[in-house]
Amino acid sequence: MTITGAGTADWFDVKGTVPTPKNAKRLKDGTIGLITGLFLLVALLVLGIVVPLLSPFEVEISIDTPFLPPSGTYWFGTDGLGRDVFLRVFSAVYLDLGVALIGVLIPFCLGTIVGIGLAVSRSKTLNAVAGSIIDGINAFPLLVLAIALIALLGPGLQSVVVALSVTNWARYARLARTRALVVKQQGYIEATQTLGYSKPRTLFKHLVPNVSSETTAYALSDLILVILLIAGLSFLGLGAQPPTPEWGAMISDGRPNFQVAWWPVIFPGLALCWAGVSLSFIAEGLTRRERDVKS
Amino acid sequence: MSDALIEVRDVSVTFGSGSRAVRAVRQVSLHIEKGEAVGIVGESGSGKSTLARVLAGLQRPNSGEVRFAGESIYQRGKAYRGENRRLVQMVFQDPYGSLNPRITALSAVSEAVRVHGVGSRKDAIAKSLELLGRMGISERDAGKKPRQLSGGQRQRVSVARALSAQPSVLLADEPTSAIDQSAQAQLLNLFRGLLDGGLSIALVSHDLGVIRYLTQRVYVMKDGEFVESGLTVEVFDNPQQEYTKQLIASIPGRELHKALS
Repeated sequence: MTITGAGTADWFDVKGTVPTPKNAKRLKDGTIGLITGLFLLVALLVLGIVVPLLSPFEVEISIDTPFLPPSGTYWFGTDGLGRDVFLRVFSAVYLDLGVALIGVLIPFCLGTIVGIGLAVSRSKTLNAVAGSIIDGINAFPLLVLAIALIALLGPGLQSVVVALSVTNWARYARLARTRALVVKQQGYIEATQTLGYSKPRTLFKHLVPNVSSETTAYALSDLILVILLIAGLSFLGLGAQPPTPEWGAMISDGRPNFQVAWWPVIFPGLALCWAGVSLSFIAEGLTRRERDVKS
Repeated sequence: MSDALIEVRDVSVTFGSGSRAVRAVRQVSLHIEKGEAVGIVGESGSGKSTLARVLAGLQRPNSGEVRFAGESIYQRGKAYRGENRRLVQMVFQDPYGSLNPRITALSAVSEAVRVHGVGSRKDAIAKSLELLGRMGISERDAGKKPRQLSGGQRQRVSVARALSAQPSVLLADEPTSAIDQSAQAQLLNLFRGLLDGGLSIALVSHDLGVIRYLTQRVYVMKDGEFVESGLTVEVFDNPQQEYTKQLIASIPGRELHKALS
């Protein structure tokens, strides 16, 4: 039927004017979040290089009167020792993110290897012993165990990394073991047996990639927690030591005078949020994309 | 049965121990001849999948013997040593789990082709594409990852992968149960073609229609035991056991079929 004549509204002919889901080029779920996150992270990383390079001031040395409020000269003001907060906040980017990255990578590798090893091993004793060690470590909140270990090792960023490696692997190990036990039951692993594939081929081409995809997803969200943990430990005086620029230590430094000067506390805090938010955008974006592709 | 390819004698499989032991397979004996299609039928939990895994060498029986070409499949504690390993292949039930989600259909098949001795990468890819083509997987679909393929396509990729080892026996554990009707028909026709090519097939299924279409002989399994066995036609036309009668009566559309004919 064709509709002609007066009274036929223009909108009636929708052919070609409204993009249907099929012809519209659809972005995968999470793409926007991922791009936003990457943009924020890259911006932070770039500022972490550019600000210390271009700043006329010194990071660790007093340059002016303490507690000058934010101004044209000192964008984020000066701290209790008269240092430029703007420079110090961005000088800490690579320290905070770098230590967190190492603090995640070591437990990630260690835990994934241990978890897969346990799932593949046939020894019941080994599984029972390692299982109770893993559960034992996981029973404690990470922060509590880390503090106890740093008390033994002495404060400092090195101790923080050691403490993280010694404790956090257990979470990855549990995740990897559970996942590997599931993957092991899948037809494609059983097929490697009937097809007579070698053990290394089965392990590295079929088992490990399908387990580590899971632990990698966890590592990304863990990175955010670890960034906060490192800042938290430094805040407590257990991590980075003054005068090293580090967000947690800077917040701790400025805290007693918060009533007088809010800027030495708020700006490092905002930088911490910046790092956390950009990473969680990335983590969330990646997970949603993965899910979108799967369905 | 001198030319039985696979022979199973008094095989039992028990999971767990003590009062919680589950006897999945009890004192089962069967044989598969060269070029023959044998069906193993039963409801879920009857032990038929466990039996298929025993035949594949994936599950070691607690007692009894499995022979392949006259020799026990277990030599020095390992199932199907050497050349025999490639001769018995399996297609698994779950099309979603039977392919590695991270590699394409083509790499899954060409990996198997290469492991089984086709020299160069180029030859292996040509051979794999040919195998996939025979299974009705186009070159375009071959480059896709499993998640981009339908259930039926995935099962056909699994079959292609199994065939790359040039087996003489193909064990199929419920290959059609998770895919739609038209894909089922396509897969069954492929199996038909393979049978004509001299392959032996052991088909495990709860679907009697599938069993009837494909197999010459059938074993009916209940609670880990064979309650009836014989030529498929005879078992279907003249079931001796109550259990078999119930199974046959439960084929959907059967009444309608009768009324029409």
